[in-house]
Amino acid sequence: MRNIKLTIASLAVTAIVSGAAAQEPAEASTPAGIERKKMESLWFTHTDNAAGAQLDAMGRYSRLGIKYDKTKGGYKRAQEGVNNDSYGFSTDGGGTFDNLGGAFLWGYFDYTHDKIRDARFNASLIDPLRGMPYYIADRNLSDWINQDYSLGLKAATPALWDRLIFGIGLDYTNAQGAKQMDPRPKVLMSKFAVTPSVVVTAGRHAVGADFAYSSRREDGLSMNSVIIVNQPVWEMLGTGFFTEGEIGAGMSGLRDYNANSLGGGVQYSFSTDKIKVLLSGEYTHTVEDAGNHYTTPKTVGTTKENIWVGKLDLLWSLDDNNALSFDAEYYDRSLDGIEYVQIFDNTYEVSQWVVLSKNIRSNWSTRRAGFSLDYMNKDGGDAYRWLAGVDLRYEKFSDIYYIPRSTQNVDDIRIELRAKKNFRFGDNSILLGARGSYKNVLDSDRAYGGNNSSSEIYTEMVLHDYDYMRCDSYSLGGELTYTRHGIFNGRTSIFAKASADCLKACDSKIGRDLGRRGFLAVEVGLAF
Amino acid sequence: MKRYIRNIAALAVALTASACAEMMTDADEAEVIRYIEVAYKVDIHDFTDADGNSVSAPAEWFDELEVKFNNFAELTETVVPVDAQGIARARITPGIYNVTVRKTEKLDGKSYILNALNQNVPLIDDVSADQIGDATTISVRPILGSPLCFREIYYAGAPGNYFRGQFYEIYNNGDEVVYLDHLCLTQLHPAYATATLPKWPDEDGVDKYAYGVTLWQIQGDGDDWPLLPGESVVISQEAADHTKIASFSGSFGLIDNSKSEWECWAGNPQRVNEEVPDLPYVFWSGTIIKLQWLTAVSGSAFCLYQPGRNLEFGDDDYWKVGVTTQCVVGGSGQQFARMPVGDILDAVELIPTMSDLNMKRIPGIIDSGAASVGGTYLGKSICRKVVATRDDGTPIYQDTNNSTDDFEVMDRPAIRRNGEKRPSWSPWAE
Repeated sequence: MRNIKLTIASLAVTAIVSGAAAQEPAEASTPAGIERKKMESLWFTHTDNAAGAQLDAMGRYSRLGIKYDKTKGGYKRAQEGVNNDSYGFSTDGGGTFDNLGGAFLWGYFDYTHDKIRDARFNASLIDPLRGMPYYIADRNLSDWINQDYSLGLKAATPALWDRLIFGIGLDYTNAQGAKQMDPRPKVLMSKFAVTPSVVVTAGRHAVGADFAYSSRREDGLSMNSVIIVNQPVWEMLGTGFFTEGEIGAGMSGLRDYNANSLGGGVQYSFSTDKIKVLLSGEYTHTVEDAGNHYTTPKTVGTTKENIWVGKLDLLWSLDDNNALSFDAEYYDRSLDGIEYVQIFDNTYEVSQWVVLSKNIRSNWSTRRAGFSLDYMNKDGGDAYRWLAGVDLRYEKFSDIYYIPRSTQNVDDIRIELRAKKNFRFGDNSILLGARGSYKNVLDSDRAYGGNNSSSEIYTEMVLHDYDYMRCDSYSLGGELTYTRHGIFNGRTSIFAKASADCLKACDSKIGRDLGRRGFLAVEVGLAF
Repeated sequence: MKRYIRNIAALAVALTASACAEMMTDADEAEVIRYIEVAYKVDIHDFTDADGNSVSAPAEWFDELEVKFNNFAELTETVVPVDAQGIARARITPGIYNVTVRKTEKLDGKSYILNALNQNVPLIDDVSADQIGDATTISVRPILGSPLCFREIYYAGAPGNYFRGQFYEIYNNGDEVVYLDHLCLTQLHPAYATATLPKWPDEDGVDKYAYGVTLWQIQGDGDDWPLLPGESVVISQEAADHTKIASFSGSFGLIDNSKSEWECWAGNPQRVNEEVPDLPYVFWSGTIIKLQWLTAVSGSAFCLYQPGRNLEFGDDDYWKVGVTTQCVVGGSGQQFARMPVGDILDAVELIPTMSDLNMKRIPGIIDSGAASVGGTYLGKSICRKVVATRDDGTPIYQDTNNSTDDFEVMDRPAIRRNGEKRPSWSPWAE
């Protein structure tokens, strides 16, 4: 199976690379040039409407890289690893192809292999922070070894009758996660998404719409390798709400997740030579069931998630060399946790769990509003000379468990400043970047009405994560990219990139030091 | 061929869309939870008194009677009083509840236990007094209290996975001599706690029988084994000084029960203690495990069953399906001992953790709760709570037929930990 996936991925990469290589870009492609292309391609970058990518006229590019990431430090959520390494390979590329009649075709493939060390309170999920409250948590510090393959494409027809464009987006992800300490599941996850889309143009105006469907499955059975030692666990229902059990003493260690998602978006854009404006709205409705048995399924819980996103994106060319980019976003996510009253019908003809009633027991809400403003000084070619920007974002996290009533609220505001300078020396260039951010928590409160306030998972996970969220923090970071232009017939660049950030918690609000966390990323690759 | 593929693709899309739509519709139907108001009726039946007469419960027995609603999935307990009409009104969240009534009353100098449990009752909507029916009525059948009880049970094993030290201490908690002749130490079915309980034939009724896996009997003529008030006997899986025996992992046991009154020797020639009498097993459901009689370290359920006669393993004249044995509906035909609850003198339900109370497997009339040391191989035991002391210094233990309340967890197992006496006929009597 793994070979099949790799083969498919390799074919996709080959198609992208060879297709793009057949074209004749104006100059050698570089990481900075690709970054600029994506900034200027509003439909491509800010919507899921593949048809709209035709309007961006982004040209073509291809990029592939081998990367290594390291994350280390104690300022983290309780379920994250303390010291993590990640290796990977990624490629993406494409554009508008004259030899395909002007069709747009873009694709990507990513592979990552993660070694996560000393993670806690998770024996079910590859990503315990993805918003699924129904999982098994254990006491043991454990490593995880995860692998993730993702591939996908965006394709769009040429403008039919100079007015109508059809597009489609396809995405597939396959991931595996293996916990390295009892109770240990091997978790398998796959996700498939399809996003057909359409755009109608009328002069400088364009209106688009897309429909999105995705299916996601994830399952893993926690078992003990040392079968004579049972492992006490918590079967989580919400933050601070759980039942206790023991893997090895009769309880099911399985969590079987099945999610379906429907959604869509509408878009409007207006463009002139000087300005491009894109207004878009997206809605996604996702329902995910969590079960604990394949043959006698008992639904542990269901999540119902609604996400609304509204965006305004603007690109303003001040003159030939200077431009402003403005992106504003409002994001509203509400996730209901549904729990069931079930009873086992032990009559021989039935022998299954029967749902008697269901209720929304919890809700997790995230509201976010913010904007980013970037100034770009172009270098006369495809890349930029300067890029400087600011992000300002307000977030409000509100969680509630209705009965017994327990709430948690955190409001914060974040600001980030960043700047990059691209130095060009003949066929060489160095891209230097620096960035810094500060998060200020405006307000926070927590009230717990449950019976588990002295339990280990409450004090060491729930309260720890609350402290993580309600403490101020700042980060400083920078990056350095060296690029050698004009190799392989002059159209290709080879690059090496290193990026580092340090995130530090401030202890003034919570009265204790949560420490810091460092992030290092290294990548070498080709752009063409 | 193309049409064939197209049709399959269309069918797959239709099925996927249908399943997706059903899933989303189900989720959209859920409403935010609210408290429900439930009226629950308590019905105390006529009962047989110590002289064999059928009598009605005195009116004063309803005074201060309370109904307890336990939701073990959410670890909530709601206790409400019963009004003059015998109705308890509770404000609870929708869920599966164990509804219990428990009280001890005196009549003509005798102690009667008013114990009742409606197990795994779904209460998901409001129930007014007018809507009370069988599903919201708890029937109480007062029973004469038995002085014989489990005093301590050490079942969960010791650190290092040492499990051979399991023992059961049986105590005379009353004020009269009790004869142990014919008494059966019984492990109940299911041997492991489970929320998916077996289905028994309808003719067995509800809560009229308990079902045994293994029965070990103290055999005698009726007066061979007197147990005086304050005396106890110990029955062990293997009578030995386990503090000197290493498990396969190298760690030692925690208890010296080499001076037990009996051991439950299953047939392993390497495990017999010649100095301690063996109890015979008179019933063993399924395959006989001769290595040892190991009960679940995560918790089995046990009872003291008094059939009133000596029994014999394999006696086809006695063990008959539908009479003294029973089979699970839809099962393999495996037989389990069928024991009327009226002949059960004491019972203790043991579960993996106290979060697993929805896994209770025995009728609430004989044990409306359950006990647990909270895990396996913890080296802990359960011991009945002391409520008083006799003049001779022997303890009087709490026995309300509710193991949740009656037992406490002890950090280490101990035999006769509170000054209990050994019977004079014990091989180890001084």
